[in-house]
Amino acid sequence: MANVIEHRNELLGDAYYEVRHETGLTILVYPKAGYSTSYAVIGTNYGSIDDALKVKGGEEKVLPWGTAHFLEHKLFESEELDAFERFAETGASANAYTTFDRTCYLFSCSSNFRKNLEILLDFVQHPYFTQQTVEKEQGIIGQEIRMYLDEPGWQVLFNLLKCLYHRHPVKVDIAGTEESISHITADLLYECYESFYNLNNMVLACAGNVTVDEVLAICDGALQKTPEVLVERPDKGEPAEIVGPSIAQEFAVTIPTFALGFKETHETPVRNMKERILTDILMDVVAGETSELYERLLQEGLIDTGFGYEYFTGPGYATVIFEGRSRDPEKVADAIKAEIRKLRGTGVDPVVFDRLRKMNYGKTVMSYNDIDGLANGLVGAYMSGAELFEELDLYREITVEDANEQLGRQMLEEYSALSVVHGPDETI
Amino acid sequence: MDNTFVIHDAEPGFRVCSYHTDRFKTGILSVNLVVPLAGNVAEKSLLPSLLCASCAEYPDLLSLNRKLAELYGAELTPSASKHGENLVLRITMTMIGDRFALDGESISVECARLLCKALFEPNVENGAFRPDEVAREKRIRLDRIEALKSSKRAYAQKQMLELMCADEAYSLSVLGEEEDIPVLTPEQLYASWQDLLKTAFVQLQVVGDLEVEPITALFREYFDRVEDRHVVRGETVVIPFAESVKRGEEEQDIAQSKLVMGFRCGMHEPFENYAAMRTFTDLFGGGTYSRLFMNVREKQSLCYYCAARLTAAKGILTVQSGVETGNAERAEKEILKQLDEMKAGGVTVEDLEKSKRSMEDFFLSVFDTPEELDGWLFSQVTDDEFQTPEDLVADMKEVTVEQVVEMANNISLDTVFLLKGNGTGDDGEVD
Repeated sequence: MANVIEHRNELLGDAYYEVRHETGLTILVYPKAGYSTSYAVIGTNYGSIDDALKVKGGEEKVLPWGTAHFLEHKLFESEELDAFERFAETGASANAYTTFDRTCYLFSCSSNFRKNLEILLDFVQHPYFTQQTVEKEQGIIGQEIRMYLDEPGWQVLFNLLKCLYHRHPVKVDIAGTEESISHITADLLYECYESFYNLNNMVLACAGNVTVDEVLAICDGALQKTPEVLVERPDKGEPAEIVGPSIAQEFAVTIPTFALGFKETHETPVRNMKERILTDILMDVVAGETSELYERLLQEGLIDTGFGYEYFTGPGYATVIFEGRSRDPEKVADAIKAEIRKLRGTGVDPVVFDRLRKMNYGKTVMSYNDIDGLANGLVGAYMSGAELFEELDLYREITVEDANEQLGRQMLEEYSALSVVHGPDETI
Repeated sequence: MDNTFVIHDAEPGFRVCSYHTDRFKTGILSVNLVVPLAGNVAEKSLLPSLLCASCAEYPDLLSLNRKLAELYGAELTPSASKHGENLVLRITMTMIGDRFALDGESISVECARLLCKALFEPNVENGAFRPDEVAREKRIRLDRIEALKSSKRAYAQKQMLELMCADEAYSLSVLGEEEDIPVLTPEQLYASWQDLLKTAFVQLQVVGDLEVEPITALFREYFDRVEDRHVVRGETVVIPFAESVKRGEEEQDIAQSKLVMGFRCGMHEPFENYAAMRTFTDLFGGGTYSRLFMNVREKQSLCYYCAARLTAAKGILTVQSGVETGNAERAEKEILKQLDEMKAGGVTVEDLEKSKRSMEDFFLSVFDTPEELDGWLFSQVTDDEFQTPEDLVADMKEVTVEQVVEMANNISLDTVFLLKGNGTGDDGEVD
């Protein structure tokens, strides 16, 4: 019997279970009482930033941009029925996605869980690529890339990343470029598959109407042990400095879209949960809906309700980004920078900190309904070395001193850049 | 009753829908006000945003937002949408369950009161909303209309609908007409708000671990104070067949062309033959087993997305796709070829079973999030008869191959709109 670790949170009244399967796969199961659907996602620690393949002790091989995403599209195919066709027989709804640092395959269903999980585990363990099907996919993905080229919010983000990062591949579109994907071949996909899709490099998360015993029994029958391959994620050697302070692109838009980013240096491979939630609170303090700055910018007509921010972070990169639409992006950027300068002088007001802590705690509690979000959250937390429930406990432990201390290292003007996408008749 | 839908008409024009369960961490309370989609839409559709920005007790955005933050991040969300030729104005309050409050306070009661205050006790001065707030909301709305033009897929869809339904109320945008917004006055919006409370059909929705009776009583108390309440309901005009094909085209500096095709569905009233038409739509351009996905995308590699969507409340169906400009004509022909094959009987029992299984799975997943349950109730806000997901699944199980083919034959192409790309999609340069 495998060794099952229980992770329980008393406040939520929820628990999930963790098992290291003998094949090397980590399995996480989050049962939800009273739910009628089940959700499963299997992910590999391989995303768009992995633009080189390096097996421990081996040479580093450069990969075309967009290879992880291309492989995701092609893994659905097999010599006989493709995975979509097999899921169509059971009624499950299946999908897949590629992010900067992982590739995930998933389904949700309200019946036939066993059959569906068997299909999922089967197709991710049995690749089938031919040169002909690879060429066909180049057309489809080419249109996916072009679709994003027409989305100002997507373009403004990647333009910003180009301003901030010299070498880190986070600056390249997850799907690559039409040119880069033209170099992908069936043989290359097999090579990447053999290394990155090693069960030791993967995690399975199930949530909803499921039990640990049921999942383990299915896994015992469906997983095949393979030799362990240790894949390394080489350091990108990204300097602290930015490339340039601004970038502008002309686009078929009427109101400019902007993204203001503050690049951070990176001593650790990933940011921990405490750093992430403190950053969330600090961004709320600066420009959240309860801040004076937000109300003022809105009242002055400088932003609209689409204004927002995020802590954009993953292996080897971390940037605080404020983004939105504005007729005067420079003015908004200046106002945000001035607010940060002011905050550095005064420190975070303890009353404000407590209010935001309470708000973030509540929003986190509310995120524990959705099994889709939970299963993917489990995968994300596991891959960044965190434990899912840690977040809720941290909201009770963090202090205003922690926030002020972190502010000292964050949102530094000299590492900031502004990206703007504007209409043809404007001069920025 | 737990874990079941409870629908009852508390009084004429006031319906209460609830689904009580303790399996969620979140409670959702929403008030939905239905009026005919007609006339000056902006005058009405601006109200939810204005009402969610302040109230008499919390007289500005900052104080209201701070109150919501203290209620553990409760969210007060305004929206306006079309259900056929009805306009539904909606305010939603999402909150944590009382059992998660750290100091044992009752969040739900306070949230329900706050929602009532937003709707019934706005921040008014001398019989009008506050001019500065009105000015801000008008500006935000105008910016949203501009922003829609930048969202190329949504813009193409909107242009197609305006061309297709040019002589119908359905062509009115929920955001309002651009020229109507600058001239809106605080007095006019105040009168529109009073009129809304008097004439709207009201559906109150309560989902999660919330007590329905006290919440209902609270809202009834407020509505009882509205004088001269007389509900006015709208009728949706459904045109069953297209007479000829209308065409529209616009050229823009974009990387990919957006093709949108609008069809009439042979319906004579909203939701006629819904189960069969929904099944047809799924087989035509829904799941990965659909004809559009399998042929236009997988076999021909013409696009990344090509999907059909049914708007049963208006009896229309749209197909959207993003294609290379040079391939637009080919894609259109291929889409119509797939429809013709279905008309000629190209529907197998196996495909039908796949579609039924997939839709059953999809509709039964409604029970697993409070948002979906709230959305299910909302989707029927203009219907007299309430259907549960199980009812709909049962109807779908009865659908036959012959019915699907019949539905295909009821479909007629009305309008084709092409947002034509001529750009290269070049990137910006770092300064």
